[in-house]
Amino acid sequence: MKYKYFYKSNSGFKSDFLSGLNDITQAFINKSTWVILGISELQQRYRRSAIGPFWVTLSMGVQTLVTGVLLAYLFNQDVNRFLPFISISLILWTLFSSALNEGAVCFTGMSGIILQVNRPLFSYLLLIIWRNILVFLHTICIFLIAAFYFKIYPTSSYLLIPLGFSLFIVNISWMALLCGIISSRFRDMPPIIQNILNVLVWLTPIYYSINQVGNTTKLIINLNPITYIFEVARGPFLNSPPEFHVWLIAVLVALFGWILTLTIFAIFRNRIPYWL
Amino acid sequence: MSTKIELNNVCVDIPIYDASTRSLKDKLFLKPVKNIINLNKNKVGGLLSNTINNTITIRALDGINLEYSDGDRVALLGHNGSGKTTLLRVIAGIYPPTSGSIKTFGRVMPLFNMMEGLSLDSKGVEAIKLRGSLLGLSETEIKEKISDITEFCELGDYINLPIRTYSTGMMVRLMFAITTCITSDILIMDEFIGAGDAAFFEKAQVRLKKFVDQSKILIVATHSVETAREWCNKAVLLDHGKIKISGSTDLVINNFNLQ
Repeated sequence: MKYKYFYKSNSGFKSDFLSGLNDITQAFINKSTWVILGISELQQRYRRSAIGPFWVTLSMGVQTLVTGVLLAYLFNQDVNRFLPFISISLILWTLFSSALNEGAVCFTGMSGIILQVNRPLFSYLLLIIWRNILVFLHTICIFLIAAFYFKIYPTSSYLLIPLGFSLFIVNISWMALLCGIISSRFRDMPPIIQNILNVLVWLTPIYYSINQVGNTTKLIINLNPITYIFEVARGPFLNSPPEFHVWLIAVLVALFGWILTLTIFAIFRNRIPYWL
Repeated sequence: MSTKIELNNVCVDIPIYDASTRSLKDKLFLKPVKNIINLNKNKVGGLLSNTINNTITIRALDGINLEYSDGDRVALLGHNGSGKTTLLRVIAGIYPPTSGSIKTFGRVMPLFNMMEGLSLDSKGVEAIKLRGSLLGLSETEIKEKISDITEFCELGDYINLPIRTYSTGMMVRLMFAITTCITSDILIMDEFIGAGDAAFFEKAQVRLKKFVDQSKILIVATHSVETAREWCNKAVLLDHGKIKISGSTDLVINNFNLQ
């Protein structure tokens, strides 16, 4: 029979882990839930406005222009190179921070639906990730415009974009899921995550490049795993493919992160509906 | 393998958190505050109890054993808070039981709140897609059903307008048409679904009957004895999360009326 559902309580970690994995595969197989819901939520946000989702593009464009020009002046940098840099940095950081902020409420925000229908819980994380990728696709044109305007044309390093971007998304996903699980139990978690992100943005080379800072700061930045996660996605866009050790660390963070998150997901997945 | 539901000694404890147990900061930096709650026996609701780590839990279901197969139409009866909705959620696979086990064979379709997940700004067609996807239909299944739904609910061009422009009756029609568009093996309802205004009523009744008849198992939680008599051949009476009596509808209802 195609559809069946077994659940036995307290049947041990191995069985919990396997059913956690099954939840994830089911979420990918039944993709209509999050694909349709994601598109519809995005449409909802910009319905009744003339330029629709391109509002995000517009506001991101203005933000990039102002920050880029101001920081280039403050840092004594060449605007021609700094503006494309800041635009891709801000676009990726927005993707990162909103995926984490929204990931924190991926279960609590959907409690109405979760308690009404029997979709896999992982669908609600995929919904967040998918929606933020859609927003990213709307904003990435800012970078392309900036790059073309300042005559930074694509080279072979663009071939690394799919790989770097996927690795970035894989890393964001485990962090968002972890935030979501903890936040559904502890309701003061979302503001804490926001505070952490506010600090993290300065400890990661977003508004400045790593070459601009002194040795002590460099050490802190190099100890911050987010730096590497970021660099694999950003480097290819800026025609400076990341070095091997950057890729390696990003992959290791993804691996470690997913093992940790899957374990926590497996243990607490059965409790999540009761916490809502 | 035929359609089947099997519940074995299912217990569900639902934790109740107050603001301080909900806070990570308090958990890390404050001593736990003793919860003061009078654990007397209430007429409604499940049994309240204090667990070891000082969170209060409700025993919403206690030692439920059930087995249903093809052709069973089951009414869940009982007062408010007797565990009807919790039991529906366990069968639907939404609440994994705290202890005990559950097996279901067949596609389960929980129909609790027909409006959940909808925004008033979505168009009729989008509402169909959204509800369809939440009910677990694939995109192809939804596409196949769109014309059937629009035809049945007779909304005409309104189907391309936002549902905020609909009257209550039109809304009910649309929701009813979406809900009944696809049959599944196991139907789960919290109160029997309604059919709308008079003109639509007879047509809807026919469709509803077909819809329910095509599903192999029906589980419906209801307060209405008439509904139970009309649609169900079996019934379960729940009280404080325990099965008080289960059997044929007549047997249970006679008991129900005695209370």
